[in-house]
Parts: sequence; C-alpha cells; structure tokens
Amino acid sequence: MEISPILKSLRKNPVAALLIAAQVALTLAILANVLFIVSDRIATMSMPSGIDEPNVFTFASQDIGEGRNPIDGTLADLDAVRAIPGVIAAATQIGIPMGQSGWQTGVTLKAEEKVEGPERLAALYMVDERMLDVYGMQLLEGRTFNAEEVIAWKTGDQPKPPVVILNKALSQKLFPDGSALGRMINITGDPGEPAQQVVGVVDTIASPWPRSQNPDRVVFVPFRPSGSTNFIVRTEPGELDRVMAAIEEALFKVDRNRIVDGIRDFKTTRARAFEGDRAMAVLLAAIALALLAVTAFGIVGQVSFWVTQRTKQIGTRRALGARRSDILRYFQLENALIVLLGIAVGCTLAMAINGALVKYLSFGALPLSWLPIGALVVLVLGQLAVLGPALRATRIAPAIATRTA
Amino acid sequence: MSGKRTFPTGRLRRLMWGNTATNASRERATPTSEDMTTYYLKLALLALKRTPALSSLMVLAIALGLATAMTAFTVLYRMSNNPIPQKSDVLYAVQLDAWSPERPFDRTDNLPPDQLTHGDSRRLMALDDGYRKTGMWRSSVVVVPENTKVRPRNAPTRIVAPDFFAMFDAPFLHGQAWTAEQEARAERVVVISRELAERVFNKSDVVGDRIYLDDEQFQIVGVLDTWKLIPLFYDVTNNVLNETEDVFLPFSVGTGKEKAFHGSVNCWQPPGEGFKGLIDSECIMTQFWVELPDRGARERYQALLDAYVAEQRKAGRFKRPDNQRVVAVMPWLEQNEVIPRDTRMFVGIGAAFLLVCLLNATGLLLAKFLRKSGEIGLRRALGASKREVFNQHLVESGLIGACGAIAGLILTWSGLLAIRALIPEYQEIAQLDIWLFAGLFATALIGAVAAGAYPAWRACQVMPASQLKAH
Repeated sequence: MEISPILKSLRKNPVAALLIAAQVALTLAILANVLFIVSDRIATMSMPSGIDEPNVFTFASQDIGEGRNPIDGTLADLDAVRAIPGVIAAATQIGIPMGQSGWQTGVTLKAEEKVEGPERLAALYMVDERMLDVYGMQLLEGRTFNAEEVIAWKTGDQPKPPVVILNKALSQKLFPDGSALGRMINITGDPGEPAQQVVGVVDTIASPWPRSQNPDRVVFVPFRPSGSTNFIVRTEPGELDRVMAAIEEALFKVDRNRIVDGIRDFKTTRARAFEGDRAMAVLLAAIALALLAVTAFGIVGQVSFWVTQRTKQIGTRRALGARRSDILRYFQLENALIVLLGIAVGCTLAMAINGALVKYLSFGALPLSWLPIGALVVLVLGQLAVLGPALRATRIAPAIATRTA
Repeated sequence: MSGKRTFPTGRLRRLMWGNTATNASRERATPTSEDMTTYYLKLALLALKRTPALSSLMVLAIALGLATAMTAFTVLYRMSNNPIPQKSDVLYAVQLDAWSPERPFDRTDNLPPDQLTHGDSRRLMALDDGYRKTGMWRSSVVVVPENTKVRPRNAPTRIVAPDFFAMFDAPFLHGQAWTAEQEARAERVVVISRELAERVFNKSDVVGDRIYLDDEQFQIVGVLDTWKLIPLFYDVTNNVLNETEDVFLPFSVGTGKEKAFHGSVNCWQPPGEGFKGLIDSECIMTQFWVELPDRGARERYQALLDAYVAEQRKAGRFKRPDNQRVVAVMPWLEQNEVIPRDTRMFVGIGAAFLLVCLLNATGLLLAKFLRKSGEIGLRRALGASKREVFNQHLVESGLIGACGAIAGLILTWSGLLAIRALIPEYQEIAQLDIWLFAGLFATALIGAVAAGAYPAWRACQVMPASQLKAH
C-alpha cells in the first residue's frame, strides 16, 4: 500500500484530519499525566506500614477529672486489656504508623550540628518492652528495651532517655556506612552533646505521616504514656472484631469515670491516611476511561462520515481491481498516519502539562517511559476505532461507481 | 453526489416552505430575529432527529467534558469560598517572627511562622490599643451530661477572648459573649453551640444554666446558632473543613486550667517542663486575629507590632530580622495553601478534557454539516443567504450544547456525589450552587457555539449551483 495517495488526499482536506490529530495529541498528553499520577498514588497507597495490619487496632482513653493516679491507672488499664481473650499484646502509645498525629523531632550526631532540612527529622514513638509484639515487627540488630528502662510519661515531660531504638530507614540515614548499634545520637532537637545510645534497630515501620517529607524514619523511646492516652492492641488472627467489641466494657470495669473513643482498626487508619489519594486515583482513572471513550467514538463518527463521503471513490477503486483488504488497509494506514502526527505533538504537550504541574503545584516529574505507553494506547485505540467504519467501507460494492451521477 | 441523498417529500416541502416564507417575508418586511431563531431551532431539532447516533455522540461528549470540568471547578470554587465576605477586609491574622536565629521558619518564601507563642498572644491581648483582638487555640473538653444514662463525650473547644464573637460575627441565638471583666477574673463562663445545647439539655435556651466541662461547673452565658465557616479560616493549622467548635471558653480559663493544644505545637528549641513550661516557651501554638477597620488602623497596628518586637528584642527575643505583619482573610487562606494541590491539578485536567470534547464536537459537527451538503446547496439555490445558513448551523451547534448542558448537569451532579462518597469531609464542598449552575450552561453554550463556528462556516461555503447540478 502506497502512502503517497493517502497523504495527497489528507493534504486536500486537512482540517478534519488535523482535528483528529489534535484530539489524539491532547488525549495522549492528558493520558500520560493521568496514568503517571494514578500509578504514583497507587504506589503511595500500597506503602508498607511495617506492622501486623489485619490484627491491630487503636483507641483513646481519657480520664475525667483528677480521680485516679495516672500511672497506676494506666497499668491497671493495660492489665485489663491484656486479660481479654484473643489479645496478644497491648500498650499505651504515642505514634501509630499512618495515624497522622504524633511527635516529630530532629536527630543530630554531633554537639555543634544543627537540624537543617527535613531529612534529619524522625517520628518519635513511645513504646514499652513489648514493642515487637505490639506492632508485630522484626528486630534486625541489638535488643529491645528492658522492662526496667521503661518509665511512665505524662504530657509535658521531655523525651531525654538514655537509650533509643531506630528503625531501618533512620539507621541507614544516620549511619549509611555501618551499624548504628552502640552509637550516640541526640534526639532532643536541642543543640547539645549526643546523649542517647542506640541499642537496637528494627525493620521497616512507617511514620504517622505517610504523605510528608518523612514517611518512614522513626526513633523509639522507652516511655509508657500514662493517664489520658492512646492504646494499641494486637490480637490473634480473626479475633480483632471480638476484642474491639469487648474493649469498652473491660475498661469501664476498671474505672467508669472515663471516655473510651476512637476505637479504630488499622484498616480504617490506613484508609483515612490515603483518602485523598484514593479519591484522586479513582476520579482520574474515570476521567482516563471517559477520555478514551470520547476520542474513540469521535474517530468512529468522523471516519464513518468519510466512508459515506468517499462511497463513489471506493466503489470506483473496487471496480478498478482494488481488493477489500486494500480498502481496509487504506483506512487503517490513514488513521495510523493521523494518530502518529497526534502522538508527535502529544508527547511535547504531555511534557508541557507535566512541566506546569511540576512548576506550579510541585508534582513529580513525568518519567519518559509513560510517553511510549500512552502512545501505544492511543495508536491501538485509533486502529480499533477505525475498524468498524473501514469494514463497512470494504462492503461497498464496485457497482456503486456505475450507479451514481 | 450520492444517489441516496433524496428527501422524503414531506420534509422537503417543509424546508422549501421555510425558505419561501423567508423570501416572501423579506419582500414585505425584515423578519424579526425571533422568528428566525425559532425557525432555526425547528430546523436544528429536525437535524438532531435525523442523525440520532451522531447527535447523541456529540451531546454525550460535551456532557462528559462539561461534567468533569465542572465537578473539578465546583470543588475549587467552593474551596476558594470567602468564609466571611462582610468582614474579610477588616480581619487580619497577626504574624510575628520569633523563630530560631539559625534558620527561617519557611525556607522558600521566608514567611513568618503561621502561629504565635502563647506568651506573644497574651501580651498582644493585654495592649491597650482599642482594637478588637483575640488570641486563640483549639482544644477539647469532656462534656458530662446531667443525665447519667448519657455517656460523657469530648466536645471540640476553642479558647478565645470575648472580642472573638463580635469579630467573627458569631450568630448568638441566646445571650451574649462574656465580659472583659469576666475574662480578666477567669470566671467559669462558657458560650456553647446550639447543637451541643440541644444534645445535652434537649433545648437551646439554656443561658444561665450550668454545664459540667472536664469535671468543673461552668455558667452558660450564650448559645450560638448553627454557624458555618467554610473554610474555617481562623485556624489553618487544624483541618480547615472542621465545623465551628461546640464550646468556647475564656482565654484566661483555658490558660489557667491548662487546656491542651489540639493543633500543631511547633518548637525550634525544647520547652520547659509541663504546660507552664510550654506556654512560656518559644513554641508556637496559638492563632491571633485583630480587627482593623481601615487603612489608618492597619498602619497604626503595624507600628504597634514593630514597637512590640523592638521592646521584646531588649529582653533577648526576636533574634531574626523584622518580619512582623498582618494578613487579611483571603491572602491568609492563599498563603497557607488552603486549596489542596490536587484540586488545582484536577481542574487543569478537567479543562483539558473539556477541550478534547470540544475538538471532538467540532470534528463531528463538520461531518454532520457536510453530510447534508446537498440540502444546504438546495437551500442556497432557493435563496437562503450564506449568513442564514451560517446562523442556522450555529443555532444547531448551540442546541447540541444546550442538550449537552442538561446531560452534563446530571453527570456533574453524579460526579459531586462520587466526590462526597470518596471524601466524606467534602459534604459542604462538593455542592452545586446557582452560579455554578449558570456557569455550566454558559460554558456549554459558548463551548458548543465555538466548536460549531468553523463547521458552520464550511457549511455556508457550499455552492448552490454545483449541488443543483449533482441532483
């Protein structure tokens, strides 16, 4: 099949073809950006928390008035929670992965060092000697806290413990060349001589703010939050719902003068953290589908008209010996040429749109690999769209050439 | 031309009648534009009916593009809402920069911190400058109902000075704000929302009644009617889609009773021990607003802030260059990037999609109009002017746009429904109002006519003679 007659015919009536090319260009430009953003959001949403997600829930307990001793009260509460059948471990906590509230502090290695920039920030998690059981995570190096190291903590106390545990991400950030074990760091955020010794390193665990500049760096300190505080509970597999339902009564048995609320399984915590990302991914995916449909049906409608317009011409060609496959190929090739023009413009346009998103809205740069993917999609889409009208064109009888004026 | 291009006689007669009528009336008098529009509309309707598949394709494309763009724009528009139009030019957020001498609070634009220390709020409130002003923070108290069967619950609380209510036009249903004297004496007085009053007392007129908050008795001095501020601009460190608080306590009481800071507490150096250490530290955790009725007041207040900072410098604070300022409501919302980046991106993508749909409509209209070249040629031969043919096709495009608008309205409504389902806190944001509704129709009509202009121009270029010859 020769390309030149197609080009000649396109040049004779360029506007309709250019309209399709423009549509394809914009479609590709939007599609590449939308696919990139959707895949980026899906990657964000599937970020690991590092904890035993299906079997963990959290809640808040608040004492009303100044009735009971906060430290003894919390110990009694913990005993009551741990006594519920199906509970593996329970602790009071500050900082739950993806929980979106907690503490953040600057970490330094030398007295004269200042915390410059967000890369030295770490989430601060308060945990007790049961930390591995509570989160369901792995110790990579060293040890966890001893029961003797864990002290009660109330709002307003400053976190200056002698020993700390790092997660893998923070350990690698601070000590890229070697083990963090035994090293001294300063987690007070205050200039000063490092006074906290690293006694252990645990595996991946997310920070409370997965959408922030610090999604994964955590330092653990041996404190047991007391009084009005948050709890984390890990249950045997399959026992989560039952334990969640029983928690309120168990705590009311210890003390009635309290509020227990925010009882939430980790699945909900995760969903809340990524609500905006999920919404964007769903909406953009819907737009991408609608966009492809509009462009495809637009091509169907316009090519159908071309087939009608060229009925006589096609009939003549058939009468002069062109096969049905020649007619089909003509329309397919013509579409491919138009779409290729669209792709050429569309790639530039895609980079321009992404450039605007990067410049004005601080979005990530579009990886170039999305362009060939988008191009392939619109090329296949164009070929599929043209198939129906083109097949209709092949059914035009040669005799039609003789019938009309 | 194709031999298939014949008209049913009825339709042909109607078209010819149309043209002859036009010619006849031209001889008598100029036809009114209304007559012509009605006539064009009739023709356009006929044309729509004749190519149902192509027409509905265009309507659907326009509707989809419109719905995407409008859904996105609705969210942007509602998020950009001026929450307090009557006072947005006289209410100012106060910003001071007592941040670390080592590094700026804001690395990119060197903006001052977004909050004040508790101490700065206290001292600015104590100045005798004659302006309405309030330091504040969000907290939470436990509301203990009289009825012991109802379990105690946390209530969102804001700690404010008495000027707060007049400054932000808080709608009092009963009673009023506490007095400056009550504030100074840290009296246990409280203003609560109508919703809380009805939940606890089953009625709203509870002024003078007592309510237990965190195990202590407070006297209710005022009840606020339902109060919506979208976005909740006076505290951007919390979720700006929060509802207004249920409990308002005096600043002196909140400070004395050590009500926790629910929002961001941001420190560049560690605070002292406990609540007292925190409120006397350099940590920022309070918002501060002032009402400045005119430009003169604004200048005087700026001078007053400059003097305050100079005086504090003598005490060894404010080691950074002068960076104190007041910011009005709308610039404040912009500065704090209250509109999520995703929303802006969504609007951009929606607009680009609408453009694709309009290009699509242009292509399809071109096909549709040129498909009936025979008919156009006939009409031209029978005396219809180029302008008449052009206008008629523009009307046809507009009619498609109008149909697209109606379908688009339904789709926009579904889109907003989807957003409310995906993001529950957007209940008030993802809502159409009359202006958006009007904007949707205007966009559809303008878009469709713009899309139809070139095809209509091509249609009116059809030569009458050649078409006659073809038949």
